[in-house]
Formats: sequence, C-alpha cells, structure tokens
Amino acid sequence: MKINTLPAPTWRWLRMNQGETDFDAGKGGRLLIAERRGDWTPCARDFSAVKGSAGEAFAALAANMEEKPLALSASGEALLRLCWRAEEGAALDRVRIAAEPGSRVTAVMDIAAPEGCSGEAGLETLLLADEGAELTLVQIFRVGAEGRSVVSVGGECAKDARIRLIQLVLDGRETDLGAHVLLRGEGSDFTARIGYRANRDHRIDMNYVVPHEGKRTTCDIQAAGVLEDTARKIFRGTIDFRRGSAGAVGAETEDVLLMNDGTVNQTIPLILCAEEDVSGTHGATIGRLSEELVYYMASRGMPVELIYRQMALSRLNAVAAQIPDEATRVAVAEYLNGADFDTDGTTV
Amino acid sequence: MEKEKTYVEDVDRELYDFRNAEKDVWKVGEGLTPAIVETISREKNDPEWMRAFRLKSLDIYNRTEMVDWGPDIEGLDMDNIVTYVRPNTKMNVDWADVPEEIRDTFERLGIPQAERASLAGVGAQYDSELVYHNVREEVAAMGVVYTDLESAMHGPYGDMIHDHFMKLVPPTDHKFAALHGAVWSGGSFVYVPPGVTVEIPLQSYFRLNAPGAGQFEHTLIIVDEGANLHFIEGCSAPKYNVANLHAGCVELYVAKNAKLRYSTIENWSKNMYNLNTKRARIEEGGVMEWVSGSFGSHVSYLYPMTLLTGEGARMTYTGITFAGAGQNLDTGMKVVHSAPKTSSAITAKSISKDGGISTYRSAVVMTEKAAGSKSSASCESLMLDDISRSDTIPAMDIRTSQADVGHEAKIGRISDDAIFYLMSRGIPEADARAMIVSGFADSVSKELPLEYAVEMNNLIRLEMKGSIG
Repeated sequence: MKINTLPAPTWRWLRMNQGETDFDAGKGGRLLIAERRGDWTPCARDFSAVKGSAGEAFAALAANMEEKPLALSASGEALLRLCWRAEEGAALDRVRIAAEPGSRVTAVMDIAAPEGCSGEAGLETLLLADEGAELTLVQIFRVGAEGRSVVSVGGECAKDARIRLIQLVLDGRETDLGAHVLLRGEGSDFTARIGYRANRDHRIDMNYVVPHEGKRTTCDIQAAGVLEDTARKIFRGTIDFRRGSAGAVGAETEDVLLMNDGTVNQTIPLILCAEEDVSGTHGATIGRLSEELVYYMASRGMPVELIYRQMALSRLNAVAAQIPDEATRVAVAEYLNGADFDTDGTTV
Repeated sequence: MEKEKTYVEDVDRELYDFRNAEKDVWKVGEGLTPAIVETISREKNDPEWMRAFRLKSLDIYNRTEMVDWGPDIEGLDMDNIVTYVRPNTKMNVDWADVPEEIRDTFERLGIPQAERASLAGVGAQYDSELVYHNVREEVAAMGVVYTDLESAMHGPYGDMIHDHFMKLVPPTDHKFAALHGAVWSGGSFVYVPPGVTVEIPLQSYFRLNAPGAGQFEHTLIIVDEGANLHFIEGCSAPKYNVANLHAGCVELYVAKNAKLRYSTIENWSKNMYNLNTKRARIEEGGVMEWVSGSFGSHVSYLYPMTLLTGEGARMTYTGITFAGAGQNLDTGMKVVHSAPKTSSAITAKSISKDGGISTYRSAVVMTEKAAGSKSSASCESLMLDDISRSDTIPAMDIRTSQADVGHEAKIGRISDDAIFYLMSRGIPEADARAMIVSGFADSVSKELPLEYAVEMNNLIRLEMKGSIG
C-alpha cells in the first residue's frame, strides 16, 4: 500500500511522492500500559476528522481492526507510558488521546523488541489538544535489526494549544513514521524533534505535514540523523500555510550526517503558501562533517573515527535529552552508550 | 491608522501585445496525426533519419501519459492546436528583405537595434520558421557557426546534428518532449570551435503570432573545448482567447573547460501553455550559467536541467518568476552531479500577486560518483496579497558521503524590520518599500547585459504606494 504521500507531488522519477509498504496486520493488543500518572479517563470523543500522516490506506487498515482503540482523555498534569510487547508477526494498535483544556499531558510509546525478533509494529496515534493544552508525544523505536515499524500520527490543536512530538529511531529494518498536525486554533503550535540512525540496509521513510489554519500559529520541525552502510532514508516535511493563517510562522530544518558512501539520503522540504502575512523557512545540511570542525577536533588529539562517532551520537543525544520521562530517557541513553557506529568511511 | 496596500503593477504587456493579421501563411490542420507529421517533414525537406525520428516520437507521444504532478493543463487540447505555420518568406540575412509587417514586429520588439548595438548575431523566428539569421563577419571568421537548424542539418554539420539532436532530451523524457520530436520546426544551431571566445552575445528571438498555434523550435548549442559563449533567448506573443502552445527544446553541450551562459527572458502571452525543456551536459572543468526570467504564459513548466558529467564541472542558476493574475508558473531547475568535485549554486526568486500562482520546483541529485561535490541553494518568495499562492518543492537525493549540500528557502512578505531599518536611516517609507521590492529582483537583472536588464526592469515596473498591510 502507498503511505506517507506528499501533499504536493513532484517528478515521478525522483520516487519521493510516496512510500510503499506491504505491512499487513490481522490483530492488535500488543500495546500495554506500563505506567499511568494523573487523571486519565476513557474518552468517547470523535477522532474521525483527524488525519494521520501515513495516509488513507493505512487509516483504512487500522479502521478494520477488531480491537477497539485505546482512547483516553487527560486533564491537569498527566503521563502515560505505553510499551510495545514484541512478538513475531505483524500487529496494529490504535491509540486516541485527548488533552483537555489547560492540561499538560505526556504520552510515551516505547516500541521495543529483542534483537533477532522480526516482529512488525503498526501504530496509529490520533491526538486532540484542547484550548491551552500542551500534549507531548514521545515515540522511541528500538525494534532490533530485524523489526519493522509503521507509525501514523495525527493531531489537531485548538486555540493556544500545543503538540510536541519527539521521535527517535534507534534501529529497525524498516521504519515508516511521521505526523500530520492541523493547527486549527489561533496561536496553536507544533514542535517536532526527530532523531534517527539507520545502518546496514535499513530504510526510514518520514512524512511530516503541518497545515496552518489559525492565525499566529507556529511550527518548528527539526530532524537530525545519521546514515551508515547502505541505509536509505527519505524525509518529507511540509509546512502548509492556508488562507486565513495570518501571522503564522513555520520552520523546518534537517541535518544529515553521512558516514560512508553507499547511503541514500532523500530530503524534500515543502512550503505551501496561500497567505501573504506569514513567514516560512526551511534549511537542509547534508553530507560529512565540515573540514574546519574535524580539523579543530583532530588538533585537540581526537582520532577522526572518534570525532565522527561523537558527532553521530550528539545528533541522537540532543533529541533524547528532550524526552520528559526519565525512565525512557535512561533507557535511550543506555542504548546509545552501547551503539557502535561504522566509521570506516569517515575522512577529514 | 489604516495601512494602504503596496501596489505592484502587472508586467506591462503593451509592448508585446500587438498582432498581425494572418495572411499569406501556410499551415497544417489542427491536431496531431501521422499525416500532419509527414507533411511537416516533407515541407522541411527532412533527411530520412529525421522523418523516421518524427514518426517514432509521435508514437511515443501517443503512448505517454500526461503529467499528473504540476499545474492543470486541461485547457490545452491538442486537437485544437496547429503545429506548423509557415510565414510567407524565406530566411533572410538582411532585415530589408524581411516582409515589412514581420520586420516591423521585430523592430517594435527592439531586435534589430539590439543586434546593431550589442549582439554578435541574431536569429528571429516568426511562428514556425526563422525569417532572419545573421552573424557578424568577424565572429564567423573565428569559425563560429550560428544558423538555423534545418540548414545546418543539410550542410557540413549534418553528422554533428545527427549525433546530438534530442540525445540530451530524448522523446521518451516526457509527453511534450515526444511532441517536440514529432513536430519541431525552427530554432538555432551554434557551434563554437575550441578555444574561441565570443566576446558579445548571440541572441535568438521567438515570436508566435498565429492564434491557436504551437511553436516547437529546437536550439542546439555545442561549445567546444576551452570556448566561451553567451547566448540570449527571448520570446513573446500577442494574447488571444484560444490556447497557444510552446514546447521548444534546448540542448546545450559544454565541452572540457568551456563556458556557456544561457540567458532567457520569457514573456509569452497569458493564453500560452509554456511546456519547454532545456538541458545541458557539462564536461570536465566546464561551466554552465543559467539566467532566467519568467514573466509570461498562462501555465508554465520550466526547469532547466544540468548534467555535471566531468570532474570539476560547475553550474549556476539565477532565476526570477513573476506570477500575476491568471498565471500558474511552475519553474525551477534540476541538476545531477555525476562526477567528482562538481558544484552547483542556485538562486531563485519569485513574486506572486493578484491571484497568481508561483511554484519553485527543483531537484539536486548527487550520485555515488560525485565525491567532493558541493551544492548550495537559496530560494526566496514574496507574496504581495492573500489571494495569490507561492509554493516551494525542492528535492535532494544525495548518494555520496563526500558531499556538502545546503538548501535554504524563505517565503513571506516584505519585512517590517527592513522597512524600519531603512526608515531609521532617513529614507521615507514609500521609498524604503520600493527599494526592497526592486532589490528583490536585482540578483537576476544584474546578471543580464545592460539592455536586457533594462527590459526586465521595464517588465517589473514596481509602483509603490503606502505600505504592505
């Protein structure tokens, strides 16, 4: 099925307009609540208007699941930690979270599997941030070298609401992820911090879409990652200023460190603009470390291989440091401490 | 205090929007059939290989899908397009021999005057055929060939044309490349021998006068080793109530250590579908410079492509697009780095107003052979009202770690901070705004020869009142 479709397509020969996946799941129930803090109640809100980043085909697959979605609503200050229970085969779960007015809600999803497990995790997460609410979603992907994740995130922000997204891809044979967040309410905000690492012949396919409808809405998408061996990655990022979004500001940046030849890095950052009084920027930096940086650090006695390893780690650590949940932050730090980067192809 | 909106004038079309009655012209019927293609081939006295090429291209056209990713071109019905219109004159080397009405057309466009003042040679095409082609004697004496493609095909450069024609842009590239291969007519052939520097530019000007017609000129330029050329392309048409089509093709070959600058001021009328294809191949140490101003057309698909195939080859692209009422201009560039230490630098600007749609679309591709290559891109869009649209769609595909790729884009209105800064230096607000808007286009106009920069500035006459609100 086609997933992660660009809102405005471009030349077909680039093969960037959408991703493809043969992910198919017949059952769910692999997501467990590991920790729940604060005031959470079952949620009967209608999420049908919230669009997910993976697109209609994935949404239809999710809608056909027999298991009902985990639907919760939170008020005040609340935290929910969910863990993916790894097993062989494919499974798809659905989560709905509503952050009530003025609340501070954090949801952490740790999608993990032991090394060698070829389990496939499908996850559709839809979010509603009510007026003045701040909803933080953290998704960690560490499904091992054989695991696969297909993740769709959708959200809507009411007036002065904020959705923060932190996604960290630490491994996985194939990872499809992204977010579609509609900034409907005046003064609403979306912030995304994405870190990724892909090695071997692994593939990461990302799609972030932020339609600005409300006045003075803001978004800031920052992605930083490391590619090694023959890994492939595509980053699609779209800031969509719709008519009426006067005073909106959007920014997206990507910083990709390529550790060796053989990697494939594709980046397509879109700005769509139908409103005069807005400001949209994007920037991308792709390649190896600057000669000045390497020279400076080498002159301080660091071997080139170590410089590259440290700079690769720093990209992931910078995102990990923003995870508000300490238990998850520690788990990520432990994983990264043991990470072995291939620095054979690095040069000054 | 109520702010008064900045008023930015439409591109002034009075200079271009005059038409001549169709008389004594010969044309094929509307639509696209093998019989029409055969007729064009016969009329042009094609060699057999070209006749076969046209028919093969038509077959590819019929089998190729319409594009599905850009501006809407449903208003273009090929069944209503006349693909070949021959004016009642042969190609001349003296303006005095050009029929008066056609000569007057080019006089009003300033072409003969420009030739006298600042050009090394001129080609002037009217509908489907060149009506004038000439090159200065001293330039010809250096071995520079500048002529129409049809004559060259039958002369000593016939083999060279056979070896290069539609090799960079094959008919299989896309539907309108196939259409071009089937019905192309007119255009120029330039050959600059090794080591020759043509000090002043050559120019080809394309005028489409016939309503409901297509223009399919082919420009083939070969700049041999160590040579240097500046080529200027201009085009215009009067406005009609029926769709016109421009599906030209430009193929540029830049040999080792050679340099080519290709400047275009595109000013087609607002009933024109401009589906043009331009491509350059640059060998070791060669330099390609694109300077592009897109002002006209109802719909435009225009993305000059550069293939950097030799070590150290370089490319720069400087372009501006001005989309006003009724215009959907999809412009940009493509570059493929496929050799070590190549570089590309892109500066793109656009202005949208009165409901105009401007899209910047690009592709920067670095293959695994492009170690040590660099690319930088800067893209700025100015929105002058809230009924217009401006999109940027830049793609990057990087397959070597030994690369430095940077991309920046900015969309917005005139910065209040910039206005404030200039005003704090004593410049009145209206003048400050005029300076900023005019300066927005400067990066392109300064790359053009003076006469053409003046023309471009005439095209964007920015009249400032009050402030952007």
